[in-house]
Amino acid sequence: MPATKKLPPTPQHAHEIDDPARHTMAVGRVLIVMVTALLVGALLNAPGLRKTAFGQPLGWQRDVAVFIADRLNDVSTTLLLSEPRAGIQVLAGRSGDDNVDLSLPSPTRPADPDIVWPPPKIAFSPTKPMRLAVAGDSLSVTPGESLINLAPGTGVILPTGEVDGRISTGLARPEIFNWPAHLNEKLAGGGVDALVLTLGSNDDQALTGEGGVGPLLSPEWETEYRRRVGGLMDLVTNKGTKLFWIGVPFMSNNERYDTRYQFMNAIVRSEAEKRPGKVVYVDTNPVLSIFGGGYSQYLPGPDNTFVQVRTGDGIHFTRAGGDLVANAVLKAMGETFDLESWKNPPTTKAGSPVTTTTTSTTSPKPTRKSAGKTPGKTGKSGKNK
Amino acid sequence: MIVLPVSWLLMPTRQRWKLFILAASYFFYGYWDWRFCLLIAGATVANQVLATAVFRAENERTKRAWLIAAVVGNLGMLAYFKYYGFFVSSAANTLHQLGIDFSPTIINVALPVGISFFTFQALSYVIDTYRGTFTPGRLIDFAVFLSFFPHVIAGPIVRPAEFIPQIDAAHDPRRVDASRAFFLITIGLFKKVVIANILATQIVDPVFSSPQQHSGLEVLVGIYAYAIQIYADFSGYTDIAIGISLLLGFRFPQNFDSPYTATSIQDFWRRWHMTLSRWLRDYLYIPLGGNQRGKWSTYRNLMLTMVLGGLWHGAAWTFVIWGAIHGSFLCGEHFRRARREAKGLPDPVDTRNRRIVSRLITFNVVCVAWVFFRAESLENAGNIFSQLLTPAHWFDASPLIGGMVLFAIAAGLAEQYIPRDAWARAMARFSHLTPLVQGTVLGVCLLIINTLGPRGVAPFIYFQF
Repeated sequence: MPATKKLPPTPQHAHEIDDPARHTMAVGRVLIVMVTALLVGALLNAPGLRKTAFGQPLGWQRDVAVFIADRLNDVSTTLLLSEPRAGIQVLAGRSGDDNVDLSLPSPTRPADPDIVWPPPKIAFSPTKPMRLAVAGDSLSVTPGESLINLAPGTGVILPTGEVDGRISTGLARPEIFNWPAHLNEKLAGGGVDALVLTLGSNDDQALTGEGGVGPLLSPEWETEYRRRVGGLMDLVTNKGTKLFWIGVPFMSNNERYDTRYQFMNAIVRSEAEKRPGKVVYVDTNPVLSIFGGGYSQYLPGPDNTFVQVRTGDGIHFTRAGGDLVANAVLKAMGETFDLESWKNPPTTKAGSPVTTTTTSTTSPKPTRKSAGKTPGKTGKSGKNK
Repeated sequence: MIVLPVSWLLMPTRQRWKLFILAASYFFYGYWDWRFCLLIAGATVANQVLATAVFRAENERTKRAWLIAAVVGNLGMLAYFKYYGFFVSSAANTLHQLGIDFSPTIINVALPVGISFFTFQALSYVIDTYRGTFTPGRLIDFAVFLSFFPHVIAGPIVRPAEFIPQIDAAHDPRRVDASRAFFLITIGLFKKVVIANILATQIVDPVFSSPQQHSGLEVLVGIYAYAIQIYADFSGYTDIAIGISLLLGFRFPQNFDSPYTATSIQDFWRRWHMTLSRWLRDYLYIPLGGNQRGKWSTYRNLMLTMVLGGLWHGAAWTFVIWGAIHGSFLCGEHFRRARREAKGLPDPVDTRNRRIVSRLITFNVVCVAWVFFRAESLENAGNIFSQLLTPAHWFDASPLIGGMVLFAIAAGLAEQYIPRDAWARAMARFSHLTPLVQGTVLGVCLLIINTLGPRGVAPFIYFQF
């Protein structure tokens, strides 16, 4: 901080600094500059604008934006004005950024009449660690980071990379981000034993893309959302990856949670129940609430001190909240996989996978009765007490 | 595309212009949450009443009483919205450690955007009136000053005497300083969308969230990258704010002056967030006594000013430590200078090598402090330093240090080392182009910014303060 004896010069007005003669202009000419810049910029960026237009909130404004962006893109492509953008994307290693992929897979696994319960537990050890990936919407980021930080402490969980978090994405709007296509590519080479996925908080809207329907929460919407959830679960698990799907947590907007997310969580939970031993639904609400349920921004932390677990927006997590979620996921993993027996080596050949049949307590025991029930009727996915 | 043409249309009729720009500013501010409009409107009326009371008070005692009411009211509002949870949870935790079980009901308080900025500007209005350097005017002028949309969210922190006289000054729609405005807006967009966002997504966020998962080299580059990110983010916002204000016919004070070319921490604070720095100097450091009451008093005042400056950014111990580091180095520099003066020694000769070394030391001290500023907690900061100082981790794989990260760091540093006159010449040359050519150049810049910038732009860092 400057001393009073020798004060720094008072900041000058920005336009006065090293100010050689410049031309000012009349507003008419200013408008010409603005319109030209926007027109040239729009033509050169047409493929990106098209993608942005598709990602607008549904409604007539989006329809108009998509119509204009499509025409603009046609002109830009015809005149080869989109080529510089494509070239820069290649240089920046981001080819394909402007693609709009609307395809969404359907479930491929018919309901299995011969469910093996409890499912077999795969054993991991430091020499054969469990390879972990974390992905999802913005709610995946902080808990995912916590999980990656906590993983080395287990001795057997090996994160395969950073959290693959994509803000404002989900299964409702594949034109914004196509999760099935992305995960199909991400998991193509194998090498991921467990994927922790957080999706749903942006899906409380009409569905676009292949099979898109509305309005939100209508029977048609439920059928289509269920198809998307089941399709994604099968896509992931068919690659030999176990899926841990974190449900949407309580939010400060109770009405939104009660009327929308509770319903959507029930869909995810029931689809997970149809895939025992392959998909685990992780309900984090019990660890994020106090005195039996509901949203809480602060919770008693270690040593009963108060810690803030949710950010001011009432949606996202603080680091302490992320740690709580991550611990809940680790607990679920511990019940799904054998992460402990390496500490007491059995007589089997060292390093080889050992299959056990310990009962899981987190993954709900599947029953034929629960499979396929509509979420509103199951009555199982309300606020956890 | 709506506000600017209407503003230009109404320029000659000031009363209508004021009403229009006030409505536009409230619409902009209320976009986050309409309830915030009630807060800023309440703050406007209350501070206008208090400033008028200060102005009209017949004796010093009454004047002072009104001033105290304004300071308490403004800081109380800031404390409630910004520091309530921090203080209550800190108190509960402290009492718990003393064996006293205190479980307060902590209500969820939404933090209104820009509250730290407009509260400081409101305080300036009343304090300047008290000091007799400003005469409070009409309510609508003050309302426009406080809510003016280019600066309401993240500054620059403008003085009433700098802004309010401009409201009634003649604005000629035939002479808009548009070329400079467009130049600044384009540079600001590049800094924010390309430099800050690439660094945030590709290295800073991963390194700071999981330092133990990264090599020492990645952590080091991540720290430097954050220094560039926060500069590009905040100065980019300021450039855009200054540019938009110029289009509306207003001049804002400069907020950054190549801060990473600073040769000392004192020099850094003359170049970084200059409007906050002068606010703290004029409304906190000097009223505390400045450097006029002996050396120990000076050190105390420096430390207090910087620690409170840290707390202004947010309710966390990490900000307190950030302020304390800067305060300590300012004290150290003050001590060295005082000792030299006491011995009658001349100032060191300003050589090129000396400048390079001083810049390197200053930059690295600033970067160490930035670790606390960015870290989520003291533990997180500790993990970062621990990873950095563990030689075994230095040569682990460093996949985050890619070409785009190095490009963004180089661009962020180079921008500050380009001589001022080169910027000025480029700006002048641009302003002499015809409107069509200017528009085409800007269109090409939009191509580069839009294509290089990661999809999904994160909010400006200083929006949270």
